[in-house]
Amino acid sequence: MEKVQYIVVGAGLAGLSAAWTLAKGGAEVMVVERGDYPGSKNVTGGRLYLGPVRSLCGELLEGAPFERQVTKERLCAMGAEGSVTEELHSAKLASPEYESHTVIRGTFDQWLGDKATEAGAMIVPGYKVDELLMEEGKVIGISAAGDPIGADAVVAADGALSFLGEQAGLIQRDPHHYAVGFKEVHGLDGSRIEERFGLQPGQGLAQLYFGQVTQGVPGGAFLYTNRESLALGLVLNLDPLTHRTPTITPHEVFEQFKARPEIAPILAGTQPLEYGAHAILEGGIHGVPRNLVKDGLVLTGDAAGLSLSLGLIVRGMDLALVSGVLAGQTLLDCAKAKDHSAGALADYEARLRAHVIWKDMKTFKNFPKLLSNPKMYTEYPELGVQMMEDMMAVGTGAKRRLAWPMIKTMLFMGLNPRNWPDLFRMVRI
Amino acid sequence: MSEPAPASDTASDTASPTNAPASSDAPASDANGPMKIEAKLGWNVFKLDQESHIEIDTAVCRERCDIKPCLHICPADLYTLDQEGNVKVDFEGCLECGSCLIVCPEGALTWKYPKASQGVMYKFC
Repeated sequence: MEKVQYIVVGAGLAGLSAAWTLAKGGAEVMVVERGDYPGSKNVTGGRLYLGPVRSLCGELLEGAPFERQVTKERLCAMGAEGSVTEELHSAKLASPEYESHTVIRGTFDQWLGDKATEAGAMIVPGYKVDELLMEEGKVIGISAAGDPIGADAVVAADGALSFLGEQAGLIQRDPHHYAVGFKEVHGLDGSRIEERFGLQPGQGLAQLYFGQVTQGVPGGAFLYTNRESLALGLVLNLDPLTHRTPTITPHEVFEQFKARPEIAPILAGTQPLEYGAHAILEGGIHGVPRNLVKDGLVLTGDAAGLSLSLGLIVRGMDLALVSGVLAGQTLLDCAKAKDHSAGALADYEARLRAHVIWKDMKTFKNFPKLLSNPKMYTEYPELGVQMMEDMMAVGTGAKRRLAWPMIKTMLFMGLNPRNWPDLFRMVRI
Repeated sequence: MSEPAPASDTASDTASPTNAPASSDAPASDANGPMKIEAKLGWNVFKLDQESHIEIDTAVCRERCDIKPCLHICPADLYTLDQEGNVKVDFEGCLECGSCLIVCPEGALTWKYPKASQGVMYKFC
């Protein structure tokens, strides 16, 4: 049996950052990727926050082909026939500490693959792993197209479905912890994007929508500006989508969203480029498997359940990059100690727990519960829209005091004991 | 260490699913109402595999599953009922998200990723 020191399965952000770290550290590493090039099977919203990855991945990401730097954030609550949008246009968002960028995975992952190759990793695209090779409960390599390849350890960076994690008995796919994300990408000249959204060259917008847009299903919609395209999409939690009556399809929800007067003008004059879909982990810290390692195996990125969805913040790619680097660092230590047992690899879990991303996962552990409440998508955004309508509309009759709509809304929410648990959860976010 | 051979040498065409138009210059929606899912899948590049990467255990699906969520959760609308009431899947337009596998309540699906280099090829996502 052929053997390499380390095999990374999946050339996404977790896999490539692990491979880069290993190669830089002098290890022999092979990355296998089922698509024709890194990124060809990947879908993001998406935006990458750089703050959390700067210390570990600053060097790795130097010169990265980002799309636009997000300087404008919008959050839109959608009622049935109206919406309220908050806009934040901020210099702070553009400062190095809080920097975030939109990315296209087809471009970005290929570039990251080149970086890993330069560092000495061998990337093999068009190569699909069928299963882990196991011996007495230990992972000793992979099998692909009937060929076994041995390794001291395997890094499973095989995404949200992680068939390797499943085979190793580390993950179970609980539908309550998954959502389906699907998006359309539409081409538009950069200068027209800047005109349309009030941006300077190179600047970008990130907009999230919640409320009627998902028709009572927990989830939301998003709009990100790339250099020369717009990414417009939706996220629907799978379990509520499964049990909704009457049933709706993602395609129907999308078409109704696009027909909204808030959205239709955004797409005017654009050229459709692509339609993608991907499973998303929505369980936060509850979606992270109990064990992320086994003898000879480490789970990273989406395969490790690392994602954080806070309604107005959606993170996954930064967590993937961090976990990949930490897995790589752990393996380099294991190589020195010549020990790749679960006990030695558990240092990876300890490193993750000590990192700021894990602190964030813990801080927001109650979010999935709050976001799974259907009222967040029906009643509450409607209340917000009505409140703003009452404040801003001038009709034929005499106008009430401006404070009245706010008082009315608070009384309406506060006087109904059934809303109290939600209010309690909201103040703890 | 030598480079492994490609996992599959099956000849394949780069094409859209058979029932979708290959052109990608159709408007996002038009005056005739919402666009069809087939048109949307036509924007994508698919490398078509000869055999399906999704298999349905029809007996289990028929007898045990009351809700058949696959019929409405697929973002590409690939699942349909045939005249006998059996669930069918048109695997060629698969976006490989795996939602059907996640929600299938009876484990009636054998779902694998398509063979190496087959299936959807994303460039702009």
